[in-house]
Amino acid sequence: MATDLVINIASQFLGKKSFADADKATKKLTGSVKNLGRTLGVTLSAAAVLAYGKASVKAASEDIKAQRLLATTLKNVGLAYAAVDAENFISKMQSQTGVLDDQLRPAFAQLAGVTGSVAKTEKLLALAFDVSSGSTLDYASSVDLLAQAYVGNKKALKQLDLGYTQAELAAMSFDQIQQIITDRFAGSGKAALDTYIGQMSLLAVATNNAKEIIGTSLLGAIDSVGGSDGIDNLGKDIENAAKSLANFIDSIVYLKEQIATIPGAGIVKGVFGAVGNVLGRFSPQRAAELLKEIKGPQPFSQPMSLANQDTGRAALAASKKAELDAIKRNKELAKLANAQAKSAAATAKAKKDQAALDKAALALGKGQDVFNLDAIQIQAALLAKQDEINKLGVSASDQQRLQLANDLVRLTIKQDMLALEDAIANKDVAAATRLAEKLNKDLQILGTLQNQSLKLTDIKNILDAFKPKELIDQNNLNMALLKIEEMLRLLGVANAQSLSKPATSGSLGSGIPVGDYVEPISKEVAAKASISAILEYADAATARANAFADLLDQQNAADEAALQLYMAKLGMTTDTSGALQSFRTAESASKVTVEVIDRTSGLIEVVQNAVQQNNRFGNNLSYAGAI
Amino acid sequence: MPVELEGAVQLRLALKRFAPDLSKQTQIEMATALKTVTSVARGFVPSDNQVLSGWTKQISGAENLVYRPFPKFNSVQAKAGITYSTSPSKPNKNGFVALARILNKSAAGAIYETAGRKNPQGQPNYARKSRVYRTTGEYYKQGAYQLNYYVEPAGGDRKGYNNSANPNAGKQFISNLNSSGQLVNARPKGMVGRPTTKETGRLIYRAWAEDNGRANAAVIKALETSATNFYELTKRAA
Repeated sequence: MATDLVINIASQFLGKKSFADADKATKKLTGSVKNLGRTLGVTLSAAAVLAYGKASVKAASEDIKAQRLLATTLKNVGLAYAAVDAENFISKMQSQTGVLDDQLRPAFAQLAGVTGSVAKTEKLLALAFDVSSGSTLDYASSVDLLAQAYVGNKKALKQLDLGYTQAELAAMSFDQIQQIITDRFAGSGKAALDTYIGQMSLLAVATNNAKEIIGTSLLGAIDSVGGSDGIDNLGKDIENAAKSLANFIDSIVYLKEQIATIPGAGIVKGVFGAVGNVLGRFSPQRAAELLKEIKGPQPFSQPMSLANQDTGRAALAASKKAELDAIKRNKELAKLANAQAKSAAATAKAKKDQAALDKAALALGKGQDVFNLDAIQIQAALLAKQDEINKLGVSASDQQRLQLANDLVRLTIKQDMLALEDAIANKDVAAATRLAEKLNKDLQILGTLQNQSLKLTDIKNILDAFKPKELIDQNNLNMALLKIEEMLRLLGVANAQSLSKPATSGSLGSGIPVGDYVEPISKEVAAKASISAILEYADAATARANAFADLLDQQNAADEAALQLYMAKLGMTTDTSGALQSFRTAESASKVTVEVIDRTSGLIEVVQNAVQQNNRFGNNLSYAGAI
Repeated sequence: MPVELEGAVQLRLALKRFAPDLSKQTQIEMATALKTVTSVARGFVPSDNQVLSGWTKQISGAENLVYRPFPKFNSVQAKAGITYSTSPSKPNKNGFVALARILNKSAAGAIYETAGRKNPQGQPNYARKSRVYRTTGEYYKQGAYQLNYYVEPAGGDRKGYNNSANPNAGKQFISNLNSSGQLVNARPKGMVGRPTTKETGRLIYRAWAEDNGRANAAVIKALETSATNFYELTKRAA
């Protein structure tokens, strides 16, 4: 019972339904096993043996074809002497890297065609393996990338994310790029091989090689029996069987002849019938190999002749020539790459210059946008007056200084623009760049000043808006009281003066001569005077009054001129009609300001509170039926 | 109710046959997840002096007994009985095969695990539910005397009852066990189905409940990962 205490985890239902599932799964599994068996060389049945044999034969024939293609390619590029070495290298590399020779041969051919050097090709093949292991590219793509880079097409290098721009890569030689790639992907291939997948790749290579080896042997057998479709149809095709029988006989005859050449063959001659039957089972190729093994090494089978020595020397010479050619080609390619790099740099410089000119033109456009000729002319005219205002020194207001600075910067911008136009017209890039920067800076200054002006105005308005509003401005009231006191004081002085000598226009600064005073005529004197005398006096008084009025007009005109000058300093309009009126109104309004502030909001709150309280205590003010 | 994985048994078989390394790796990953639960469960096993002393005393001459005595508690044995298994089990009566299991194998450990989950106050005391009155012979007619006796049914009817002379024996035993470890129901709350106490216990079920399904998820993930790897392997091999 104790075993009932169990926690089952991740169970599977295998009830009645499971029979069908198991059946399906078994079928699927059988399929997988067959595939696995084919690759791993597991022979599951006679049919599998035949199928594996076919696959092996196919693999071997393709392998032979690839070998011949590679040899032809090497021959065409002048590396025929290296065909054997290339095969050895490929064989070694596939066993070390897990890359099948089916991929290595085309890669070798491609790189050999590009570099013309076996040594360089082998280095690049090894590098391509590291690249493919350390990046997302497959081996063929890596080889293609390196081949393209070798001849100067370096666009594909960006896939490797080497950390260089395309322009930088274009300026580098292939050796530099190769060094960078080597440093970047060093050890990637070895690390990849240490993984489970890497080991499986090596196993796949071994399996494939086994397949090719078996297939090669089978090819010989098939050649011997002359079957078109291999072993499958052997039993079906009687004709093929006959041919195979004939081959068997040929092999026996061949074997007999060969055995006769073996020293002491007389010993075996007696048993040749029995041995021949046994050896007759092998194909002629295999029989030849066996005989070769039986004979052992033949040191003098290939006599050392002058021709052979010459062949070795010729191969060595061809090797040296090919390497020298490869070096020469490499140098030519490097030279071409340098020329391309220089051309690219020149193009880049031209583009950069053009970009600078465009930038300057853009700045000029911006300057023209903000530049207004009329405004400049007006401001230039005002500048002369501002010089006079500057003479005021400390007494000049901030607004005046700001306006003056604005005008100066605008004029500077105009000067910059003219200079920049000249520089662009002269194609002087350096000057244009410098002037464009200066123009931009001046524009920024102008913008800052304008913003500052706006800010000053805004701040003033905001501050005014935040000033506490009182029902009666106490300051204004105080000022009004002071004015009244002043008026009273002046009135008292006037009264005192009325008792003394009246003030003359000269004393008031009106320009009327001092002492020019006509005492008024009393009623008593007028009653006694004649009408003509009174009329004459009236005319004289009128003329005098007119003269006084003229003086006052002159004084007013002078004041107005002064006011206009003052308004011009402030940047206000010189319209005397409205502006002066508004100024006067504002001036008079600034004397005493009495504002009535809406205080009804408090009253509304009081009423609302009262209504709410009434509602709260049940004393609704609404009439019956109200909604 | 464990999670059902279709094809998992076949996967295990295939792994064992064609990718033994991957099979071993899968088993190691599953074992790592299960070991955390069993380690915790072993930590819940009380020491010998924490249970009632009579439960740990060996019976002298037990080898001569013709019946199986009540299993004695031994802390070491109880801990050793808490194990895990990563090989598929036999199908149960409902046709389910468990791909991994956590087991409490020892008898005493099983008693400690489950005591009190059906009867928290101990088994009820035995009481005869009915009497059979038999009268014999002519005496009955005469009313001389009446013979009353109880007839026990075949197989006995004392199973499920307290057979101890101490009417509170079960209660005291469970109370003592509860003092060293509380019963915990590992059945997730809100799970569809009839509530049951079959997943309630003090050792492996408590550890399983405290694990909050992490081990379960790890086992499933290990199986899924191995399935993916095996698929890649076969695809590449093909």
